[in-house]
Amino acid sequence: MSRHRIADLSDLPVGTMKLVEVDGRPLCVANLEECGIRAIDDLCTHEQESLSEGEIWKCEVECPQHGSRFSFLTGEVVGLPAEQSTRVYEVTVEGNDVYVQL
Amino acid sequence: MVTILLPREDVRADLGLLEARRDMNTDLKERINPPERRPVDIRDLTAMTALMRSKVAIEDAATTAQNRRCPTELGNINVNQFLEGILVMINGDEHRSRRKKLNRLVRPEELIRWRDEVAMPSVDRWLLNAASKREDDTLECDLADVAERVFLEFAAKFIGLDGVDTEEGMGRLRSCTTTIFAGMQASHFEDREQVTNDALEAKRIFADEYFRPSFAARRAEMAQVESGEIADEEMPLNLMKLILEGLDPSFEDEDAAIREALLMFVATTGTSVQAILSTVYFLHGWFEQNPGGRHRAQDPDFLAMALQEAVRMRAPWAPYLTRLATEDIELDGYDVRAGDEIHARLVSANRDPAVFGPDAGEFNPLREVPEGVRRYGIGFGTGQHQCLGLRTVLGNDGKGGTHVFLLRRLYQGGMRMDPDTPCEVLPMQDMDPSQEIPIYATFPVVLDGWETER
Repeated sequence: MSRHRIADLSDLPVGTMKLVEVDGRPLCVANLEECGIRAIDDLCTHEQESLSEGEIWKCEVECPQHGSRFSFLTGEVVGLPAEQSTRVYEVTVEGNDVYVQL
Repeated sequence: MVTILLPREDVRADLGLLEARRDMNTDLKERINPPERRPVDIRDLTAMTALMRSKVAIEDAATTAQNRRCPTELGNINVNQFLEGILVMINGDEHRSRRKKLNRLVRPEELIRWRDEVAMPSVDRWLLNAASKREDDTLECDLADVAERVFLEFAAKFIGLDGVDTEEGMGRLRSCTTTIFAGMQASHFEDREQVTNDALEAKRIFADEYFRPSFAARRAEMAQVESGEIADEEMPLNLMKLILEGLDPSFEDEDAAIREALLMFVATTGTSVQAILSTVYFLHGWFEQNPGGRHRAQDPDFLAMALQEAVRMRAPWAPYLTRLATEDIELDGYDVRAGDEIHARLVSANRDPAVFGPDAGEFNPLREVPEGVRRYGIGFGTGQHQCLGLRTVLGNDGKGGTHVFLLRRLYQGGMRMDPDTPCEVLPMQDMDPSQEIPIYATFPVVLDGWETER
């Protein structure tokens, strides 16, 4: 496990997501009004679309292409057509620095 | 046999064909009158999936409309009048942008509305309307007729069309359904001229009598929303509302908007009806062979599996889908070069024994599929182009969809195929003779215990 600084908190307003790449791995990092700062794999398990280009729904993200939904809390699929869960990452915030454990 | 000639020159001028041809630039001319392309049939699932996920095998209106059999005026009409610019023919960022906005129509809360407020009430209404009593007090009806009315009403609400609440309005729009469905894929039919001309007339009826007055009504509603007279939630979400909100700048051209509405119209009615009928047909045989499984006919999990298996076996109810290769592609067992016209034989791929096992050609709702393989195979498409209605069929959770609930409702009413009256099917050409993909025109059923108050 290694800790990586991935963003300035000030660059991630509440209700937004962004794509960050850590060691070549694309992550979708979101600042959720109801669930805080969260990170999951950015590529949808259904057809490899970028989830960070999708839409936030409470603590879930909707894929921009086919509408699959994933929980930011557990990585589970909460809406078809995806069937395979995605990976969640532990996120910590220290001051203005956002870190992820990989 | 009656032969109907191509539209006269003045009609073609009305349709904008001649003007379009005069003004077209070299690139468009190339697309409308493409050079002869080499057809490549792809039949196995692994190669098909890799191909359709690649960015170099694109949908293309001219390729789809004309294919190798008929690069003629009929193909040009098919492009110009039905296929150019519709969701299934655009690619890349243009497709991604439009699809993202269209996904609003099939979000979880909308799925429940479509199912509980639109489809299920209409099942009861149209079934009782169509059913007649038999001597033994059971009911009989043509399920093809009932399903078509249900999904036609569904399609109208999905698009935002008015005028289907009456028998007359429903009948008039219904007369266009099969005609437009056939016209959009006219290259697959033997009498292409007649299919095309009938479809043009059906499009005129659709546009003049349904689309234009309905769009004007939706525009008036939108004006009320914008002025604060009504809340946004009071205006039901449908395709026309999305168009008015700026779904795609191309829809400022009215005919482009009509073409998109036609796509939603046929995609919602034709394939849905055939999916329901095919599932009932297959389950009829499966229950005979597995009488112990009959109790599962009202189990949504089981019905969802049966639906997916029927989709795997028969979708897309056409011989093949067409793609244009824009670059050379290395596929196991296939030599695909830039410019090739790829015929994606989805039904063959979906019956690939290397993936689904030696019984891949048989219906088995309890089939175990390998990890990473979808139960419906690529019956809802794969890669960028996948069915917008998938969650309408199966539900957000995979078992609460409109189609699953419709099947459950029918089995709750004791539905079984009529043992005395066979189904009628429509003939199509270029189907793989080893694979039966009937398009049902009639589907007689008996209902042993239909109760209206369910």
